[in-house]
Amino acid sequence: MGLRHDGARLRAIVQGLVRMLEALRACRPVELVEAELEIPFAGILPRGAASVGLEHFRSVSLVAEDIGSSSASDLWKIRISIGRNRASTVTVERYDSPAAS
Amino acid sequence: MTPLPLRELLGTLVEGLIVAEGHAAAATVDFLRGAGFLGNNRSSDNWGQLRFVTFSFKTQEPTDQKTRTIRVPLLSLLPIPLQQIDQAEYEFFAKVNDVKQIDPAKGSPKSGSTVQGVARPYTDLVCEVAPYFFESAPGKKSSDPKVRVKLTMRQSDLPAGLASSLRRIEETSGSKPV
Repeated sequence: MGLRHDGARLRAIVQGLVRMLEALRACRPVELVEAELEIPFAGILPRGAASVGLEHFRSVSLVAEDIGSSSASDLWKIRISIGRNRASTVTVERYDSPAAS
Repeated sequence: MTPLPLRELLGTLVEGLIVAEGHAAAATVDFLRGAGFLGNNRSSDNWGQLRFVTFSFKTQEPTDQKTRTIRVPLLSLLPIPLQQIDQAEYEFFAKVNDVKQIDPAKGSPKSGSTVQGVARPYTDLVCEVAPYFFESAPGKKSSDPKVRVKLTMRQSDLPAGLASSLRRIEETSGSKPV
């Protein structure tokens, strides 16, 4: 496959997922109480980036096979967290960070 | 399993719960009708006569022995199977096969609210559910990083409009002499 995507496309995917999860939170007759999504990707964080955020990644790999062949130092994950009575959060962490409970 | 856009995969889980609730409600109606009423016409809205059970027993009165008969609706003697989802938890892994632009207007009805005219094309991860693995188990970790999904859902409160409608329906119900 060898697909690489620009970071903006990844941000659009994440924003879409957050919007969908927020919609499920207000859904009837079944509502979302809590959700945790971890999306792995491979990308290079530019040197001198002030923080770890999606906006810093220019080029990313999203397909499992492409990510699997990347070096461990380039592996990241986006963590989307949403709860019933709290604002949704999106963070970027090293892939080997412990999973949320 | 056929790969699906991640949003559709998540939506399928919610849809599954709603369908399950529907099946549970239908099973309850079938039980009430079958156990509680006489009559075989399942297609009719008229459920027929309430099924009663009658039993008698002897009691010793001060002067003599009497037989007493009791007649009760069968439904009052049975536990009614009212199954409802209290809380549902999903946790699974998904392997990303592709990244695609999805146009709900060209896809299945599940992939967007085309009826309401609000569905717009979107980019999504096309995923398939992957075998579950415990991160704590040594040697079991998959070689390919995967999307991890954890969802907790529960039945929502009855919307105010529906509750109001049900109250009005209740007000119109009652008994009348035949």
